[in-house]
Amino acid sequence: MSLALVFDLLLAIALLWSAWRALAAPEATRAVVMFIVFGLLLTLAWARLDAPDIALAEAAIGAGLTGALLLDALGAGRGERGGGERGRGEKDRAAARWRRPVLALSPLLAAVLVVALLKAPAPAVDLPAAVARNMAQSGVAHPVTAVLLNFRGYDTLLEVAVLLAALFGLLALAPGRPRAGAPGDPLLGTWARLAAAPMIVVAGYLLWAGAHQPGGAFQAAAVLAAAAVLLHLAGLLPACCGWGWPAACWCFSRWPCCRWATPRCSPIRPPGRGR
Amino acid sequence: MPEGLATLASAVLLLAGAGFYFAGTVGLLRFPDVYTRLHALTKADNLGLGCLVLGLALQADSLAAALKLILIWPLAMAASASVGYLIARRARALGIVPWRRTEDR
Repeated sequence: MSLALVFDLLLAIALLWSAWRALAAPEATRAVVMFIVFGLLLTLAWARLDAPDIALAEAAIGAGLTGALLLDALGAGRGERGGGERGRGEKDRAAARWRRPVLALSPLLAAVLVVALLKAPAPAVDLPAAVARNMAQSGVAHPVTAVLLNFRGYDTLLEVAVLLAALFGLLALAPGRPRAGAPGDPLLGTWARLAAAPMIVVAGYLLWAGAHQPGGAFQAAAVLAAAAVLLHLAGLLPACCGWGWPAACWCFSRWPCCRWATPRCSPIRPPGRGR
Repeated sequence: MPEGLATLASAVLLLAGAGFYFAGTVGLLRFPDVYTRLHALTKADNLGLGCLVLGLALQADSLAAALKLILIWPLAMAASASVGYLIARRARALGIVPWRRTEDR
């Protein structure tokens, strides 16, 4: 048995184990942490399968961004319910009712997917070959980016439109105004301020690098959104913008001439000026 | 022979990094409370990551790739230091008392 096979087997076992632990965890916090661990292991699995684009997306979106959002949601739920230990226990029990159906259905879903994959008919059009033939027209050197942003650019644009419509619906239905992050720890605030700028640069780099190597719009946007989540967790993102316009508000509130665009945004305090 | 020397140094650094990671993991599993476990993880793993990154940078194809690898280190150190502090602060707020030797109690 080769060393690579041993590693792959260990990875597969660890994936199943972390997925099981995420589902079987008695409390939500532990489940979220195990979900993040699962996402990181899944990133490794994609990297092992020679799919660096999906590995990057999984690391940024699946493990990083979703994990941070889930942790934030946990914190919000705790704050609203006044930290009632009893209320939390009831919630956990309510969640536990769903566990058995989910545990029963997920192997079924996996089996259906495997059968569907094995029985799939041969594609009528050889898409990889078609992409390879037309790479010169796309203007970029990386096939994934060529498909996503060039060959099916309208598809990608409409995806964004659908997401935007969903966001507007959510904001319209949300009870009350979006919540501002609680004023966080001073150390967290300092690091969030310091980290936000490099994260924006990294997002720009990922988008640019996507033209000729793994990277691209999805991963760049995930890093950008992660910067917004980080600022929100540190209580540095203005409340009025909430999740609707975090990035835009963050940028607009820097320049006084653009304040009219986001009238209710309070400018972000510069570092070192106390609260 | 600089080529062989770089490979040797890279191997030594990678092994040392693995050793530090091993020490950190043993600490995580064996130390008695959250504070000592954090201590083991944030200290040993930071040093382990530094060794790994330097070892891999020696094998990198280009200077740009090596610098990108080395950039990971300070970023991960900053993140792990802050996260370690935040976890310890939360543990203290939850009233978890630091572990003491039994005879000191």
